[in-house]
Amino acid sequence: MGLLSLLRKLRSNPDLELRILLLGLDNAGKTTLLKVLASEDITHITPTQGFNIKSVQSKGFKLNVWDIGGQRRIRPYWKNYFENTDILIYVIDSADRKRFEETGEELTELFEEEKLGVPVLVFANKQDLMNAARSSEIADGLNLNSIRDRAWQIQPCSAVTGEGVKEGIDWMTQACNKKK
Amino acid sequence: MDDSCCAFSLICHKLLARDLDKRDKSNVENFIIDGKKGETVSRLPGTVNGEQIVIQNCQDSNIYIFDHIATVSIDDCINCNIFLGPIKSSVFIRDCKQCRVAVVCQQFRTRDCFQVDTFLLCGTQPIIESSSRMKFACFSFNYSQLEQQFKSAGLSIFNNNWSNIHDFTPVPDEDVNFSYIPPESTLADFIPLPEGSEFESLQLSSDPNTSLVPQTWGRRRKQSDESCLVVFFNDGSCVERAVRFLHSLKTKNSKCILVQSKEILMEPDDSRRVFETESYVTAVQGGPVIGLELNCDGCVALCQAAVVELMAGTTGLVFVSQSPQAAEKQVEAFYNFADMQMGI
Repeated sequence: MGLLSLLRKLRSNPDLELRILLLGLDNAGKTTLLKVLASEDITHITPTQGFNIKSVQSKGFKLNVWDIGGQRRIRPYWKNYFENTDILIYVIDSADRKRFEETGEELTELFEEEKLGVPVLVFANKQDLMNAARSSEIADGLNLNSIRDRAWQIQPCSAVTGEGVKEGIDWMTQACNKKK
Repeated sequence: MDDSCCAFSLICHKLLARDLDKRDKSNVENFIIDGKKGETVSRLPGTVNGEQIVIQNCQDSNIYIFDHIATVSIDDCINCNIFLGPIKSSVFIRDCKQCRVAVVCQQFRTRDCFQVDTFLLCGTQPIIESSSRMKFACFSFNYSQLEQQFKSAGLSIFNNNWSNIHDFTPVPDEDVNFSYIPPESTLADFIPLPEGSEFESLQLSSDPNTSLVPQTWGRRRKQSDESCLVVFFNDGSCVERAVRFLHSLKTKNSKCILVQSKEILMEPDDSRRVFETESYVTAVQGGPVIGLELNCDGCVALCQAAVVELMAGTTGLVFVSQSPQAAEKQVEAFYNFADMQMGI
C-alpha cells in the first residue's frame, strides 16, 4: 500500500472522487443539469462555447463534473476529455424529435471509443415539455437494450424542475461503488 | 440491506417515469405549427401559457405567437415571418432560409440557416453555427400583455445582448455570416402586423418609439467618442426610473443613443472594482442593478443634467460618470464585468 492511499484510509471520511463527463448535442440541457447538481441559479445560462467544470459533494463522493459544449463544430474535441473519466452522462433533449437520429449517432460513436469504456447514464431531459418523448421510446430508438459491454441506465428527468435528477445520480454512485 | 435499497429506488424510477409521462398531451397539436403554406397562424395571449412551441416545414407564411413560451424550435421553414413572445429558455432555428423573425428569449441558437433577419432581445450571448447572411437588429415591439409576459418568462427588458453574436463557424477574414440591420430600418419593414378584429385589444405596435424594449445601438460603429455610464441601483423602482431617464434624454438630445443595457447582480467586491470606491457597496446589495451606456457628443453633461432632474425630491441612488475620461474606463469595467458574469 502506498503512503498516499494509507493516509487516505486513515481519514475518517475518505473522499471517493469521480470524474464525470457530461456530453450531448447542443441545447440538450447539459449546463442546466450541471448547475442543478451544484444547486446554482439556472435562469441566465449562456450557450457553452468551451467547457464548464464543477465539483459537487454527493453521498460521500466528490463529483468532478465536466460539461463540454455540444455544437457540431466542437464535437471533435470531446475526445480530449475521455481520459480518466469514471462515468459518462449523456444528455438528450427529449422534445427535439428532429435530432433523435443525430444524437443516437453521436452516442453510438461514443460507445465505440476504447478510452471511454465506462458506465453510461442517459438523461432523457426536458420531460416537462409538451412535445417530449417518453424515455422508453428514446431507449428503443437508441437501441440501448443491445448494450452488453457496460452498465447503463436511462433516466427521464427535467433539469428545470429537478425531477428525476437525484434518481440518476443515485444510480451513478451505485454503479461506481460496484466498480470500485 | 443493499438489495432492498435497490428495489426501492427501482420502484421510485418507475413511479417517476410514469409521473412524468402522465401529463395531459391530448392537445399537443395546438403547440405544433407544421406544414403551413401561404397561411397566417396566430396564438393569442393566454393560449400558449408557458408551454413549448414547435414550428416546422412552413413556407410563405406569417406566424405570430403573442404569449410567453417555454422553448421554441423552428425547423425547415422558407420565406416566413415569425413573431415570438418571451421565451423562458431557448429558441433554436435550424435549416431555415429567407425568414424574418422577431423574438425575445434567454438563449438564441441557429444552425444551417441562410438569410434569416432577426429582431432580437437575448438575455445571454446569441450563437450561430454553419449559418450565413444572417442579419440582426434590436427587438422593438409592444402590446398590452408583453410586459407581464416578460415577467412570466423571467426576462428583463434591459438585459439585451442582441448584437454580441458568437459564431461557431467563422469564415476567416470575411463577415459573410452575420451583419447588423441599419438602425433606420424598423421591424415594420420586415414583418407585417396581423390584421383582424381578434388583435384589436392587444394594441400591437412595431413603432420603435413605443417599444417596451429600450432600443440599443449594439456593436454598430458608435457615432461619438464620448460615452457615459449610468447605473440605477435597485430600490424597487429602478426599472421605471431608467425608462423615464431614457425618455427624458431623447427629448433633450435626439442624437443621444443607448449603446447597450444590462440588468445584473453585483457583489460588493464587483462594485469596488467597477466604480473604484466604497460608495456603492451597500447599494448593490439591494438586487440587480441596471447599467446603461449612452453615447453622443456632450453625453456626460447631458446625462448628469437628466439624472439631477429625474432624482429631484427622491431618495434613490444613481451613478453617473463624472467626466468623459472616467466614463471610458467605467463603461469598459462595467461591461467586462457583465460579460464575464454571463460566462459563469
